Amino acid sequence: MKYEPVVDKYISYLTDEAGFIQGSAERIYFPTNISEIQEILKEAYDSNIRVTISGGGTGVSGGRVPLGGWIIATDKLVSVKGGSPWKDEESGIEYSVKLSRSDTTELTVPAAMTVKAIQNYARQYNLYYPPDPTERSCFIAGNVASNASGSRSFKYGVTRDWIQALSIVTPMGEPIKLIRTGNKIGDKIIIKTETKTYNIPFPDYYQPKTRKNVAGPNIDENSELIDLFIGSGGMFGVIAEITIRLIDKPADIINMFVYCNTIDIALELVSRCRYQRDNNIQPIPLSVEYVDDRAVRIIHEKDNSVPNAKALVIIEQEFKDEMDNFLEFYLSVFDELGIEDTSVAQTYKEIEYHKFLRHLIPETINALVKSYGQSKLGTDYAVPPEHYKTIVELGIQAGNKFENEFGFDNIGYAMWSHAGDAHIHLNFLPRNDVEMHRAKELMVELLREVVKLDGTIAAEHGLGKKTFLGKPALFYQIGERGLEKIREMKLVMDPKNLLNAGNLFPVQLD
Amino acid sequence: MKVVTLLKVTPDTETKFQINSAGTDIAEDSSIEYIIGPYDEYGVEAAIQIKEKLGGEVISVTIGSGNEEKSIRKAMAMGVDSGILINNADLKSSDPLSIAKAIKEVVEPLNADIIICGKLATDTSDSFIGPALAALMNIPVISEISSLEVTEEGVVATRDAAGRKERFESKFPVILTADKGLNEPRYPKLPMIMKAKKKPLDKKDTAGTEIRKNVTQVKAEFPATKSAGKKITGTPDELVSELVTGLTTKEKIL
Repeated sequence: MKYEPVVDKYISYLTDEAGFIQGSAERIYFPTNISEIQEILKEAYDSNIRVTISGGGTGVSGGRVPLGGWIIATDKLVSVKGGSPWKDEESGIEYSVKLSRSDTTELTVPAAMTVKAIQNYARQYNLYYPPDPTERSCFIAGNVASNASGSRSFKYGVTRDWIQALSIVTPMGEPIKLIRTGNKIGDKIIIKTETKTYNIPFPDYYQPKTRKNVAGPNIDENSELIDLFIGSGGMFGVIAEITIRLIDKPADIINMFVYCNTIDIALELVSRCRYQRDNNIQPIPLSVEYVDDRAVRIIHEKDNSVPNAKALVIIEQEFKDEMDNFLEFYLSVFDELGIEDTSVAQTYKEIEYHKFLRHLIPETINALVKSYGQSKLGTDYAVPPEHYKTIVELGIQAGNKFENEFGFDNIGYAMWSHAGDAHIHLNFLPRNDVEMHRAKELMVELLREVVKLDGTIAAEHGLGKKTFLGKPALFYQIGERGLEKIREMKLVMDPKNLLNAGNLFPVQLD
Repeated sequence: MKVVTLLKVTPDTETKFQINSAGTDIAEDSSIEYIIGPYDEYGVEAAIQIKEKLGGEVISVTIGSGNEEKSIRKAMAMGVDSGILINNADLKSSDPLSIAKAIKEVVEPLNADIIICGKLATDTSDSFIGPALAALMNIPVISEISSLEVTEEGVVATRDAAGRKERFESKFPVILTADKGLNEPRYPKLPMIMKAKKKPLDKKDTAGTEIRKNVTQVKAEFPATKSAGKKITGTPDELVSELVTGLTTKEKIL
């Protein structure tokens, strides 16, 4: 099997979007199909060599960063077996995918298809793939490995809810296909391949009571076997083909920027939207996001038609025929809360522009941090919805403390959140190592509060190789015993711990 | 100040078209999103800004074939006060001169001070209607404007021509065609979207003018696809050597 040495042009494969960890590797492979992945993994297993899987490189927790050994770059996994060619005009990439329509509409896509390409495909056929992560150049397999979500999970749930089948290659190089059938696992996790049966111990560590959680394998008695491979950071196998469920495209979507004069007004608006969903009363927004004044300033600097509001709430709503009633609802809520300024994107292009402005926030923050020679430092915490206000207030306190201690001309932190899911991204902007250390302390302080509130420390980004103050991030949520349990689960399928080693729990470096 | 804005509704420029089964035109299916023609939208925004500055009203005029009301309502949410829609598929697919004559029939009685439209219709790529209407109505036209100042006395507008900026002045009435850069069309506020639903939209089947179709579109096809380019990566030295090799051996340019 052909490979290349990891020379300069592959250097980006040694890190990811966040860039907090730089890895090393000797070889890089670009397999184009499942049997090639099998071949590489078998050879690596027989030779005791670590293999790290690399997706689109948009991750922010170091999951794809190799700790020696080989890289399997999934970039060329653009075709599924028996698929039909389809070219994504936006990227110019030709994929092969398989569409099947019966009771449900399902689309089988290759690992390297981007979420944006999937959305483009769906749009062309009047279909709709609801999960809508902010970063859409990510590969779908990366989304599955990290159970990504993004803002529309408010109404439609997370990636897991839309995955119908997976073609996986096990760490020892055997192919398996997992299909969502409705059969719950109960208290046993048994994976069968052609030659082996894996009996994986059942997790007994702390499971948060949040709507989103990707901190470690997230399995309970109601899960199906396929769920073991979703959101577990690729620890149990390489995801090669993914069957997703699509629905009919909603007739219309609007994206509203709602400018609020106080944080309390914004939080009240969020809670009104959540009430609709929790009580299943229409209109239920697709997504509800909260953006703080510092993050609004980033948008304002790009487009001054966006006012420097104290808080911005972004609401997406879909319609079929009920547009008038739905808009009346929002209008009356805005009136009641004294909200006057809104900007409503109605056409596809306008909505894309709003999304572009929204995506500027993490992009600008990441670039600022890099310009200080530091790496991204943001929370991915979520709490049960009833504690949303508390966590926002704690986040603001932590941010203000940080800004006051060091003094900032520019912003020292920014916070935005997938508010409907009580999921906050509090990002610090440390300019040097001293500030970095302090910001980490503040994050750990906040993290302890999050766990006290039955929350999760990783709602959507995955934990990869993230550490806090010298310990793997997951330690703070499930302790040494929990980490040990995940390790036991992993070693059943990967006795030498070679595949994606270092994710979730640390390994000895060579 | 009375401003008329000519508003053509066109498929979103990013629409992926299919050709209809007869092979004569694009297929009108539900995957097409109809929008206010992008240049006409600059005209709508300009018209609203004039009204905000000097008072008066803005009326939109549209020749359509059934896909237009949503976009007209959006223009109303931006600030257009009322609209006239001539719904006639034969007229819409007739020749541009017939369309200009129909618009004249509708617009002339309105006695507008300013008539503004986009410099170009993005679906048919014609820049005809504004200047043709000016000729038919025998009033001045300033085309492709990228800035505009309006006072009680008249308009001052500039056009970005090749390598220079041209400045024009005119009294009323005048026809203006809008270029990119004239303004940034606003996004409506929610209450305006609600109000827009109740604004008057006068729908008619005909402008009462003769419809001629001197030219018939007989075929539509996609342009031949170019073979994909090759992306080269590597260190500067590798790039140069690969580029030179490609240009000499493959493209035979060097």
